[in-house]
Amino acid sequence: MSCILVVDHDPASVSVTSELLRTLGHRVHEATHTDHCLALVERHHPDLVLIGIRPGDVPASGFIRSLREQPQLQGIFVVGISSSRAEPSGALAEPSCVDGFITRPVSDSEFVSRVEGFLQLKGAQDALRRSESRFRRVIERNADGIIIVSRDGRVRMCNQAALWLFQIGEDALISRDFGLPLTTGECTEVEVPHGDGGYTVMEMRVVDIEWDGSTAWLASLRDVTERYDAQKALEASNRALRLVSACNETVLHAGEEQELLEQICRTAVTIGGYDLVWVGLAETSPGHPIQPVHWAGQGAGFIGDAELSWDTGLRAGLAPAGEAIREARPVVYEDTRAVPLASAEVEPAVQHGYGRLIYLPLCSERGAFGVLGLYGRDCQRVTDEELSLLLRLSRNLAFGIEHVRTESEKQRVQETVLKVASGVSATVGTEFFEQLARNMNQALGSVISMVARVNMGEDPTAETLSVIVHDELRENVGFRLAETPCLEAFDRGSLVLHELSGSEFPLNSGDRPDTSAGVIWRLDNAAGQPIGFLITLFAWPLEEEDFVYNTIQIFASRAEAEIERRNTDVRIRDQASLLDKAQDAIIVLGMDQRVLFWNQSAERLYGWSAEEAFGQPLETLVADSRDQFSKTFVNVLHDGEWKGEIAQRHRDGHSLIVEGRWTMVRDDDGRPQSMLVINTDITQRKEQEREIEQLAFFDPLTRLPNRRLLVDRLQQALVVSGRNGQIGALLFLDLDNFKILNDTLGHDLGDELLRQVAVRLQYAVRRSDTVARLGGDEFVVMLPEMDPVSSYAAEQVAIVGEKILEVFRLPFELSGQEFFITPSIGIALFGDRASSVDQLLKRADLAMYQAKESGRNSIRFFDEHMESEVANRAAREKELRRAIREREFVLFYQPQLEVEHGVIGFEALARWQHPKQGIIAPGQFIPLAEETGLIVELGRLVLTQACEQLVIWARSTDTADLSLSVNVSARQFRHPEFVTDIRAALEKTGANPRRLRLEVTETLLLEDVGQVVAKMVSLRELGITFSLDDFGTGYSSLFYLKTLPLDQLKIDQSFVRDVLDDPNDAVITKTVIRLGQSMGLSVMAEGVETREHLDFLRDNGCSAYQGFYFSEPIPAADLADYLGAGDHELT
Amino acid sequence: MSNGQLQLVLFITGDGTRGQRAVGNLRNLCSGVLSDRCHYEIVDVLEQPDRAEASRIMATPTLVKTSPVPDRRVIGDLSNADDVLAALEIDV
Repeated sequence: MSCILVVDHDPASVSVTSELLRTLGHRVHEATHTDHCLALVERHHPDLVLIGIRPGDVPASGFIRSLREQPQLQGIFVVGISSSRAEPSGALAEPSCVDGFITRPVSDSEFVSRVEGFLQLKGAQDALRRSESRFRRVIERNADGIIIVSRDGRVRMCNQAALWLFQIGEDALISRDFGLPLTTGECTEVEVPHGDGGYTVMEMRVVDIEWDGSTAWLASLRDVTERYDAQKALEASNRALRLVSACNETVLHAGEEQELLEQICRTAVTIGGYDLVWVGLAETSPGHPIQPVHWAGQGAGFIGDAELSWDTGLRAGLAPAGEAIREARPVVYEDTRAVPLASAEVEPAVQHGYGRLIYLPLCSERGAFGVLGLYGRDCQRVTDEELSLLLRLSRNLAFGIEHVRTESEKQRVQETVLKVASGVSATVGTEFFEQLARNMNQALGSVISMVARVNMGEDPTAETLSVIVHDELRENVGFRLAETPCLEAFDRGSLVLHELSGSEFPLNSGDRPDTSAGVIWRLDNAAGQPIGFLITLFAWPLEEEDFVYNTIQIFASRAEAEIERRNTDVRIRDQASLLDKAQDAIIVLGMDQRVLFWNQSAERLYGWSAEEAFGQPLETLVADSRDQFSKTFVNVLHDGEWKGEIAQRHRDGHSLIVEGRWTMVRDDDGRPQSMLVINTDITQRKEQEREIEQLAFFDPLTRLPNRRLLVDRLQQALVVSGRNGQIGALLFLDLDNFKILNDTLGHDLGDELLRQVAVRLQYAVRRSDTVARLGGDEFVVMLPEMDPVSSYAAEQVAIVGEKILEVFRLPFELSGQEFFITPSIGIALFGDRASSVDQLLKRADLAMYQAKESGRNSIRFFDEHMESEVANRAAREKELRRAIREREFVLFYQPQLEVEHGVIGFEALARWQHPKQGIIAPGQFIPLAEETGLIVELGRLVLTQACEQLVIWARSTDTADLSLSVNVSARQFRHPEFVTDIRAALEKTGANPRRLRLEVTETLLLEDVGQVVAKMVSLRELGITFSLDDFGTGYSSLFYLKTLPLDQLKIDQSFVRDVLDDPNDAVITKTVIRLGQSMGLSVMAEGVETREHLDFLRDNGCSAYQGFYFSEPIPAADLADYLGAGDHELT
Repeated sequence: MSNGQLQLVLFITGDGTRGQRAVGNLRNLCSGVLSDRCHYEIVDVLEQPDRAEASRIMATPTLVKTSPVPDRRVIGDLSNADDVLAALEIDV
């Protein structure tokens, strides 16, 4: 059923139409002229207005126009019924004027169907309008920027957030060409540039919608810049973390330096995500070049050709790689494009377009010996976390390099020693060569034979090992090869001499037989290098040349082997003496485990001399544990070698930790012959390592993990929970009132308490949880791997929290006394979404503060309001600071009266005259000022203004006797400059101190009463009087009351208010009055609001009053009027 | 097939991965189905803010077809070549 208004000048027409419509069940209103039509429309809100129109119908068009002007009547359908075939003209012809026409004559059935058609259309339009307004509301309230883009790419609609995102006005945005978003249904990221060089990263989600009858896109844009940055930073750190552990693997298993460097570079590229990674070694040759030894990454080859140096004197030395080596510290450029390097032209990375450069020094104990370079194409922030991880990586890498270097050094020594130990014959004397030369003479029929060894060099020489002339052994001689035909033989391998003068080869002594021919045969070692000659000379011309050659070859091979063996022996003897200089203890054991060899380092390490050690079982000399020793020995027998750490003892009994490399030595037949033991003393290194680890990761007082280790573990926990969806929790725990306890008991006992707390906390949690101490009395408990459902996790965490509170219920015993201490615990859960370590710690900390504020010894979970509250508070604090700076505080004055004297003075009350919010009452800013300490500054302002008012009063005899009370907060009073401040205010203004009264509260008495009294006394000496405010609400200790130099007690208004209704308040009030009287103090009642209050107080002997009954606080400007009105006598 | 050289301008912001992906996709497009038919240009709005201003670029990556008329533009990383061509009204 619809509501229809029928309007026509012709009453008959109206009634016919109305009847017809009523039969269809519609509600119909009628009108025969347009004068009151608008009122009818407003009253009934018809769905349809049917209006009879004649040509030039002025009243009808006037009515329709005024109807259209009413915004609340929008949507009413107006249909004109024209009674002629003429087209509507004039105003009625405007398309917006009427929604349709029905032209008579028309049959009833057609009329009805047309009307029903209009009603349906109207219904559809209403529905559309409703949905559109709902749609608009939803869009407008959306925090994401929303734009509707039509199929031609133009913006058709937007919400407020979108304007804000694009930093543009609505007029400029609408119908602007946004472009076609090609990502319907999925999420994509786009940047919105700001024109000032900055941009915002947006997540754009596009859906198809119907808009104005055709399809369009609805794009919602969300600012993800922050998330994006955070994500990138987190990714980088995570990558760095994975990189460090992957590289540690490599370092642990590396056997060779080359292999190690290659793998590290490769890993840093593949896992670390750096585009180019290289390692360079600092050389000490002239020009101090940095020699790139390994690199990885696409297009990294240029590094190999880079000319780098660490010499400050050279241009190439200015590059960051050189700086990192010289100063042994990391050098980082996050964005070389934004901050150009001073040394850009010598830095190949810049020329090759890398934007992010990190150089880490590789350091040994002697300083930096190389550099690790990590480059990225993109510029990106290097977070502290990432850098510290990379530093760890470079330290480990440097350690790895050093380790493999010493390792290969050791292998060389070991080989040498093995040769000594395997007992290579060193006893071959000159007899061998003597015999050889004799044999040659005999076999070949020669008269002179000699064996000579070559000393290589620029001018090679030879020295004979034996010289036989006929049968006779002659003295050995040396000669330059150039002096003899040996030089030619040296080049050719052998030489036959057919003509000899006889003086070609020098002989030292004795006669020299004639020689006419000879053969020189060069001796080579296994590698083909010349090591000597065989020379044999004949008395007659050489006949059987082949025979001589073949035979001499046999001698030569024997001689070669022996010379080589001798050379080796010499080397071995040299090296054996070197063994004594080695840092490591080198011991050779027989198979009975008795000592065969014991070098000087072994003497030093174990305190036993070589003589004492020889023949002793090693076990009795050094073993710390018999079992471990025999196990090691069995291992070597079984595997041939053993490597590891072993605990041993010095002769004097102190324990040692050595790193041992024990090797089985076998004889030529493969039978175990002896055992080579090389032990390195690592006792000190071990201790240092332990100490460093302790220092770096543990709190020395409680032995709990410190902040660093906590952060490390928390990071890992975040990664794990992010992966498997498990929820973890961080409990921030602070001991209530620890500071007071620490100050009163002394720091030793405070420390002891912290140690006991640490023990109890560990007792309260699982082994897999981390209890850490951040410093002071702050502890953090990290609970990883709770239930994946956050509500269950929260329950579990709450149980742990309760358990912690529980372990604090028992007293702590400190130096024989029992103490109770409670914690406040703040909890932040993690794992349901990305959060950073810092953020989590902050949240848990914030929750802890809430726990503290809610009355200590309690638990609070973090919720998001806390963060906004902190922000809110910070904003209010800032506002308050500004107000103090701008001096926005004014004083209001509430009169104080006495029975006999009328107005005797005023209490000054501060009001904040806020430029926007108007007058703000003290209750709204004093607590914040107290908390923040701004009360001190605010108090100074108030005092100065009060003093200025006193000076104004002093000018007139009528007001010269008025006193002024000023409230002083405890915090302000305790400020060391308080007395000086007041003196300064009095001096600056010239106010009479006798008219100034300071109102203090009992909270003053919470601290050193002696000091409070001293300050009051020194102020009273100036003439200032004191009143104790709010008396009865706090401690109300009679003792203090007697101690403090007071002049007045003020009965708190809370008692006065109910003095007539509450018998308790009446008793307290009476008691205070009597107490004041007995102590000679005046008593003033605050909050006197009614005549009855006044009567009660006066009847009970109270003589001074203040309250609304007399006057509310009045602004300074109205003071004169108030005082001028006179007649404030109390009757 | 439409005649005349296609003129395309791709606006990106900095050298981040999003923009580079769009650049890569555009290159593929121009060396692929549009080979020899288009001339394209890449504008970094951080380096040439005035160009972005003049073209009234609202977000990046945006690809603008400046010739032949009508001007058409699309937003996104251009990963679906068919969609890009259809949106820019380019016949292949």
